[in-house]
Amino acid sequence: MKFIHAADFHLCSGFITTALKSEIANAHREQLWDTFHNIISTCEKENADILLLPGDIFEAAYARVSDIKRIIDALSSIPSTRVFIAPGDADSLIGESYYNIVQLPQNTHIFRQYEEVYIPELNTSVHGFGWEKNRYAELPFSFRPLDKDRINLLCLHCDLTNSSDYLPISEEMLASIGFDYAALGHVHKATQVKNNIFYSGSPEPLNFGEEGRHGYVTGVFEEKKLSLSFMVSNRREFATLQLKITSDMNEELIKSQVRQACGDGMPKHVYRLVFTGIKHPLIDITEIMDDFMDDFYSVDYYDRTVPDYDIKKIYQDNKDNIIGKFIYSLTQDATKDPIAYKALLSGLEALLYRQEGSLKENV
Amino acid sequence: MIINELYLIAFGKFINKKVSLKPGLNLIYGGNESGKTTMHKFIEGMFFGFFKPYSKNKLYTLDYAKFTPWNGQDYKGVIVYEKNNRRYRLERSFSKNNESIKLYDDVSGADLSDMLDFDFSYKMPKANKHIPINNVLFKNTVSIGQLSNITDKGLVKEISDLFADTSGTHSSGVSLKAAIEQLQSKIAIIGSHSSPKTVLGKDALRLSELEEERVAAEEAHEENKQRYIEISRLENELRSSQQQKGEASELKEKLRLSQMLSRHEKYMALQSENEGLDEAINSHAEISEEAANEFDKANIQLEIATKQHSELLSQRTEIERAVSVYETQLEQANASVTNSSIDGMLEDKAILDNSLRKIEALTAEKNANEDTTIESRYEKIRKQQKLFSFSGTIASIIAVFAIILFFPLEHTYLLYAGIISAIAGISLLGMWAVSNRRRNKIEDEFEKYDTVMSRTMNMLLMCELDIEQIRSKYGTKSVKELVDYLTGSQDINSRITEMETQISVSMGSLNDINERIISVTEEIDELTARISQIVSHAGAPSIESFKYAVMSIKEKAVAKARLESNLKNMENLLAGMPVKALQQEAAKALEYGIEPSSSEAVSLDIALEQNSDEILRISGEIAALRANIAQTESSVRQLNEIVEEIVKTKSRIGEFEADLKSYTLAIEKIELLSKDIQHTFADAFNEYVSNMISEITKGKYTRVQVNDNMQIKVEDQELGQLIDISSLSGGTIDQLYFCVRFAIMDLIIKDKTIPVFLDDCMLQYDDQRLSNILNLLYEKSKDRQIIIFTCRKAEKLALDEKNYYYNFVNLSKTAQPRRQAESNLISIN
Repeated sequence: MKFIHAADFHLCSGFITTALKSEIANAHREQLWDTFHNIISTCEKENADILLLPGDIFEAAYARVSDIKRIIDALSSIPSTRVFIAPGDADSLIGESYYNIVQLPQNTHIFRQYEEVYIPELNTSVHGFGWEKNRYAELPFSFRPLDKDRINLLCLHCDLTNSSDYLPISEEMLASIGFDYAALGHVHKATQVKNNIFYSGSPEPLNFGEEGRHGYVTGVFEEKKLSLSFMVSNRREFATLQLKITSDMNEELIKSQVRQACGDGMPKHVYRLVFTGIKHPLIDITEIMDDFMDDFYSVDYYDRTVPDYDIKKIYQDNKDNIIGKFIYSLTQDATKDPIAYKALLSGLEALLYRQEGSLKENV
Repeated sequence: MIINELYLIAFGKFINKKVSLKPGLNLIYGGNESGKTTMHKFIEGMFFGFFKPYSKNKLYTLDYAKFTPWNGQDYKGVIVYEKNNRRYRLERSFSKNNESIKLYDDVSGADLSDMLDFDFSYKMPKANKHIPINNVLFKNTVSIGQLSNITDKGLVKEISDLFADTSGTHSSGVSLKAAIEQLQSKIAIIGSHSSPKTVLGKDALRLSELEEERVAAEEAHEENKQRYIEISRLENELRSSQQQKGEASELKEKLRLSQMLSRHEKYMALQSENEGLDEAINSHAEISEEAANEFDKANIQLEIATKQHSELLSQRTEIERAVSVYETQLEQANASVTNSSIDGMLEDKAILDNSLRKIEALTAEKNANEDTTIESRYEKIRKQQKLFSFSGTIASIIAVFAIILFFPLEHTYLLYAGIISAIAGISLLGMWAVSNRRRNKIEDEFEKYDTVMSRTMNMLLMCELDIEQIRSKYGTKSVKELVDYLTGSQDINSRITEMETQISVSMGSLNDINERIISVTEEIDELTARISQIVSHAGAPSIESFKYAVMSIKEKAVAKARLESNLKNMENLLAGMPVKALQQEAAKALEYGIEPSSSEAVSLDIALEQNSDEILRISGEIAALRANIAQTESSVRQLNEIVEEIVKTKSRIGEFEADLKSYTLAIEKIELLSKDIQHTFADAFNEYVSNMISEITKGKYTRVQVNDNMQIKVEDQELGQLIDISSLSGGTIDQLYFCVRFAIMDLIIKDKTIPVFLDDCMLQYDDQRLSNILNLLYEKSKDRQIIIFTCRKAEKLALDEKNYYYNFVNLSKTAQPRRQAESNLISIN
């Protein structure tokens, strides 16, 4: 018996936290669809008996009718593979959920209440539960004793922890039930919890917190002996790079540092660059990035550098004048309040502007 | 502090160049490119280095590269100066790879470098131990460059700005106005929510549009969801209809096969029958068809005639029986009326009927004329008359007696009684007379009435007597019985008449029938003879055998007709299809266990048609809904895309708002602090400048005043009024400018001994104005060293003319070509 386990596609997702450009966000949404279809095709090519989809297949808040039709068409295209969907928090069964509206293909089963579906010809039982609300602070069902003569699979969207709003289950408890394989969804990073308990993760990264490889799990049972493989599926990677610069770095040096950090991933991956450190006043990060923006598939950047002001020194040299008094008036608040900190820097820049104006020309 | 010597070991174009300086006024002269600025920068570099001020890291200014020695020699120099009567020697190596500062006691040679503070940013000691300012303040206070605004108007403005900036900042080179303008320009660039041309306004407007777009997209999303729910419902209906259609089609097929089976069976039966018919048709005939026809015709006519004969006989019997019945009844009727003649009875019946009618009429007349009141009225008037006559008579007698008695007795009451009785008696007799007339009239009426009534009653009596006579004649008990009896006799008479008529008619019919019987019997005989003739002519042994032969001929004809009909039916059953195909369909039906049936599938066809219409309708609705969904989806952007843009726009707005808050806060703080500084510092500053200008103008102008609009006025002692400085002479303005510059130095920098450097700042002054300034500088040089860099000789000539003491350094004598700065790139260590 051969199965494929994939989860957390989050099709139709809104990349809200990633701040991707609109065209990149749209392209990545299409990439999610491509990867979804690739996995469906793999089921056909590999003659998978079962496809386990433990939740968050799509984002119910954003999915359109045409999107749901794409999913149904895809699932219909593999009639010899039995598909099991255990809805999660993003695609839960609440109200007029598409799962409650659509006519699903005959090969597809949606889990609702905890249940066991037995497939005699495979001597396999698939157990599962579908979310009917957005949060579960505790396990809403009890596992039933397993028929050990069968292969027992679990398909579930859950959080393997003792305390969570996302259907918490302890690892030990889950392990003690004795499933031959537990296909879990919710955690986007592929994680092998135990030998036969897996979070397959999201097949494509969805934000900058999901770096590295992404994919799905294939499993083969020979009798009751299981062999598992993790298959990489992501075409894109999300990477956040911290670039520390110093005030003595010029534009070319900074560009070189960026190129070195991104390597050959520049034209294919999604980068977020965070510039930190002290920047020379004449260095403009925006200008630097504008110069080689076209070399990237997608990049956004944050200039978290601080101006090259030695505020302590400025204060000491200007204690009696407005500059020193200005620093003094804001220093305390600036440590706690970003507005005050920015007011300090912008005010200082304005006050020193004329003094520094001539100096800058000479820097 | 007094700078004594400058030793440019290798600095810019100078190699081992020594310059000696003196306390007081120093004039360093040199033409263009002679190295004046290099010398000036050497002094700055020696004390402060060429580092970016306020930087956390050591960052070199372009001056570092600019004054790097040309020939690669060690980039260094020495400066010797006095401070608090002690002579120091400061050595600095500028080279990045060999950067160092050393401070020595120039007399003892003691290394005093430990005295120097360490600069952690620059990671080396600070050389400005005895010039306790930084290079920023150095440039903005003691180092006075070429004036940018040499016109009076320009200078006035510069003075105003210096006043304003210094009063509000207690610093130099810091422009309050410029700082606030810079912050305000940043605020202006960001703009506000309500100004759509600014970045914030654009984003706010965009956000509003996006929110509307989001609502529209959400509504479209929901509408489409509802459409999809409807599609799901319709798809269920469609499946149900399709299933029904499938079932109906299957049923129709079964029925078709059933019909085929039935047709096949009928076909086979007809085929089988045809075989028998063929046999009959092909059998041999014994007589001619013509003879058979003739025989048949005659035989049929005979049969008709025989039947007619039989019927006529039966009719005759019937009529005879009826006549017999009539005759019996007639006899009985005649017997019942033998006692009286029928005519007498009819006459009595007529009298009786007449009497009864009369009685009825007379009774009606009597009832109509009867007046029961006439008798009572007559009686009543008679009684009244008797009463009036009697009482009138009595009254009259009383009156007579009373009057008679009055005369003898002479009693008055008797008179009165007599009068009253007389009146009463007259009245009553009068009334009697009246009633008598009425009585006569009523009596006449009564007599007439009585006469009529008596006659009517007499006539009634006569009629009753007639009836009674007839009744007694027939011996009936009552008149009613008499009436019934006479009426019945009348009926019998009618029946006798009728029966006699019937008998007569029947007898007529009987004669007719007898005649027709004779006729038909003749016809039968004739036909029998003819048949015998046909049979004998055909040579048949008997009529019976001939009949058999005729029957055979008929059967053949029937068989032929039947065969033709059968063949036509078989053709119809095949309906154009080959027999084999019909057989196959029948075999299929049998295979499915279908029973033969000839019923039509009309209802199924209707059901199928209805199903097809329903399927078409539902499919149409689904297609329309799908088209609506597609249209709606294409009319709005995807919700996720909109939300992403909303989040990004909100984020930008948040950043703009934070920037606005921070810039506003900075402005507020700066303005507040500036007011505070002005409050504590401005007066001292004004006083200092006032004292200086008074001293310089020898008391002509005594006081400087600055109003809220930063307009500066001086008090003219002679005129006793305040004069705006723009009205002052150019020379006085120059003096005022330098007063302000010195005031800034003295009030901001605590160490008032730091030398002052003037670098070609009097370049454009004419002799008069130069003279004025030199006067002022000379005075100031008594308190602190002043070093003037100039490219012209005017200063020297003026000083010489004034006979002021000064130290003159002529750089032109050793002028060497200087190297242009090779790079304007940032210098990096």
